[in-house]
Amino acid sequence: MADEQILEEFTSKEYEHGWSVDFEADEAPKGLNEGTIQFISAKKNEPAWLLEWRLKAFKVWKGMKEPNWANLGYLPIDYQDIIYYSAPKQENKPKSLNEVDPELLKTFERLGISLTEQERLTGVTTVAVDAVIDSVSVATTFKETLGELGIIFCSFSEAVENHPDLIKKYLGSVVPAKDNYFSALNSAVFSDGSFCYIPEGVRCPMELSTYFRINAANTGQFERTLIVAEDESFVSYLEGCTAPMRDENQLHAAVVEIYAAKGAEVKYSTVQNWYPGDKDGKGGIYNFVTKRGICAGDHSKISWTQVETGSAVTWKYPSCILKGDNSMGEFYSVAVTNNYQQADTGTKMIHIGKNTRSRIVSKGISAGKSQNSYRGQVQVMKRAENARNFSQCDSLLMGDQCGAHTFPYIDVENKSAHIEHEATTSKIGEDQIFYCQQRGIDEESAVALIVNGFAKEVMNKLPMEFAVEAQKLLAMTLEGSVG
Amino acid sequence: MVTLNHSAEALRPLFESQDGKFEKIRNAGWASFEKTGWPTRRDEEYKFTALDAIFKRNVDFSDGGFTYSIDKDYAHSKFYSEDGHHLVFVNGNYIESWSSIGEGKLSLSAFDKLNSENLATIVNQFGDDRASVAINHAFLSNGISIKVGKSVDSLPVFIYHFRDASESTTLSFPYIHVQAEENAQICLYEKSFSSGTHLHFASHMTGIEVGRNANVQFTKIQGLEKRDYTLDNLFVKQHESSHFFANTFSLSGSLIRNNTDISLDGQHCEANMYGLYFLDGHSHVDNHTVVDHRFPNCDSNELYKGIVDEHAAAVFNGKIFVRQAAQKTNAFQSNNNVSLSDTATIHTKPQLEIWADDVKCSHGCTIGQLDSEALFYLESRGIKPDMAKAMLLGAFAQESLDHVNLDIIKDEVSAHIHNRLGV
Repeated sequence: MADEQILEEFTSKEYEHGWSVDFEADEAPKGLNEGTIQFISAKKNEPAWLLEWRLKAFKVWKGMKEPNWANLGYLPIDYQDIIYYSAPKQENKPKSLNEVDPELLKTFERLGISLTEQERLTGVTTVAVDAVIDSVSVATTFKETLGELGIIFCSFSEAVENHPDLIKKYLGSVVPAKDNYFSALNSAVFSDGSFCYIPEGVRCPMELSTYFRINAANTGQFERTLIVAEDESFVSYLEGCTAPMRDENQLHAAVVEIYAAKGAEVKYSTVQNWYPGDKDGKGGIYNFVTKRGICAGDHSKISWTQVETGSAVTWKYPSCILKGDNSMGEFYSVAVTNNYQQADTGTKMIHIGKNTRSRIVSKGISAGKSQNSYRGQVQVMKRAENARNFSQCDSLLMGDQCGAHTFPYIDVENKSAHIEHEATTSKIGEDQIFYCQQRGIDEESAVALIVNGFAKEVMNKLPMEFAVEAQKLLAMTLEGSVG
Repeated sequence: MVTLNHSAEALRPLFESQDGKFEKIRNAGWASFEKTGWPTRRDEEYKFTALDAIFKRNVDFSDGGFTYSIDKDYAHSKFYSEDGHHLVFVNGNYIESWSSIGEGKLSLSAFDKLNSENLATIVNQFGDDRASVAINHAFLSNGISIKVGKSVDSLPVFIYHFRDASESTTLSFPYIHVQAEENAQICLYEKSFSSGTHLHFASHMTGIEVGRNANVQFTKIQGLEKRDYTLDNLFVKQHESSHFFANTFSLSGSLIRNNTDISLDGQHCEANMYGLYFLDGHSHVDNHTVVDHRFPNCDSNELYKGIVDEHAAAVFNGKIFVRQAAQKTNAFQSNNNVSLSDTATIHTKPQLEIWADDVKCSHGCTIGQLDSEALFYLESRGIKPDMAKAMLLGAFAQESLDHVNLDIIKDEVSAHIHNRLGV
């Protein structure tokens, strides 16, 4: 049968970013103890307060238990068997792109991310990229152009060096170290990441982007992103990720913090394409990420958009704390799982201020033997007058061996709240396909059409630069896999 | 002092003071309870229902336990005038001499008349290792087993639970077993009354087996006093082509936790659950429902409606499991809430877990207030605000009553709502 063939083809399709490059890497010894943290901190020439902050987080982490409430099953992680710091060796810190190891630049070329500004400037799109390999940021483009507007966009370590006051003020303000097991681990051992600061009244003229890649074997990636948007500012931020194919599972435990002041708007988009493991479920990335934004000022807005296609295990709940009056949170997600992938993802909307609004649109597509769960929380605090929430989570099942699960938590303490939640689970209807076929659309295209239509609401929210990549990913993963 | 403390230890003296009846089951239940203990807020299933609220008070159960001071006449005064079988439970024990059995073929056996093997078969058929079941087993009282024979269309069965705590704090652990054989039909109505000024704690167990093509309806009315704490477990097993209706009306009480577990063990089953909670004061009502679709071609419907006022709290958790074999399942679930006060809280979690692909499943939940435009519409036609509000709330609640077979019950719940709304 044609369907089975297509399904076969698709399931045997290999992960396209599965190669790795042999850099000379500078690594910390395996294992985690106070020494490791001191090693990382020393490598990065960090000030004493940051080392202290890390050690405190480590202490908290040691007293915590790994959470097991998620609808996930995975092999226990041996935290002593991970290399917590790995950096491509560079003699000195490069002053400009010309000094960056050409091997590194080539790596990013292969990923389709050009770090050479020249090309970008002549091109139509402008995206400023901060590229992170394993544990450290290797290059940040367009720094000067952004600098003229007062925008700070640089690697986390640079920010610690050049803007310690900002880091001190905002680091851990949205996601405190003790928030959860993985955020505590990240706070203790985070190696690099991106920092972004948009001053008052500035509308960032280009998309800012971070690209993460795990390269070395046996390493974990622990990056931290901090975005601060001052009054009346706007920024759109993109994040992408890939990793080589390896038989063992690698850990990725990142933290993203967003702070939006009065009237600010932050749009954060992710296309997550970590290595998902092979078709028998071997290998793949364990993706345990804490993402949270706070709408601290009135009339502020944070919008999360994510397309999740990779990782063997995903544990991720981008959240919004709607503290300012009239603030707004949005969450748009497409999560696709195939083979033995497992995803437990969703969001939290915490309504604290008056007239706060939130909107959740989550689309889950499961194929193969995968499990896809939506877990979301909408909480309306006592003083959140006129809170409004609309949630929709739809699941599409392809094949009879996968699962789709929904766990929405809705907690309301104010009578003026308006909360709506709806969810559906179904497969592509035979009548839908029949309808298309009647009009001369073949079965495969019909399925593609329906899947695209299913995910469109979310895809539309992605910035142009990412929409193409995301659509390609979705097409690659799913077209024709139902019938 | 015997208390309902967190540790099982505190209840041990009461457990040990029991007579030798049902020894095996009680011991097994106690062993299981000792192992699990009471759930705490850290337990996902009890996240919003603080059983510790009872435990914190360290209630003394040492004098009393199961004693009561109501009499037969009082019990009879509460009977419905309807024809049928009227069964009386006082503090968890079935009292045959107070009950009035109507005509028709219905086989009733009190637990103390059953031989221990038969009883063990019944008790082991339902439930799991959760604390509320274990504690019921550990203090197993004189329950009743109701058997509806093949193709029998039974008169309605009314079950009255009297909980008397006039002299001291008391407990009750009733057990009701219903077995409807092939093509049988039966409606059961269960109502609880509390009396006395002391505190009462109850853990109910109801196990229902719905035979092939049988039709069973089970309606629960919980209108209890403010010092009444109830854990209620309803387990249902449905065989091929059977129908089951559960209606749950929670109108008052200090703490009510309803666990409804329906397992669809054959094809072409239909399960329906309707619920209404109308709460004020400091009432706390928690409905946890599970529908387990294990076979193909089954339908389930669920609708819970709630009105929450003053300091009351409502918790809803509806789980629908669709196993891999259960293709062509239709499962629908809905939970609608109206919140009337800023001090009221509502926690709802409609949950779907699906492993089959050819299914239609949906769930939805809403939390809101009365539509101000609808209120204005009524007011502009000369209807007073209170009346307008009552009309809208009455209409909102009515939907959950539609499926009750007996008018007398419908009217009673409806009257209660209107009374509470002051019209």
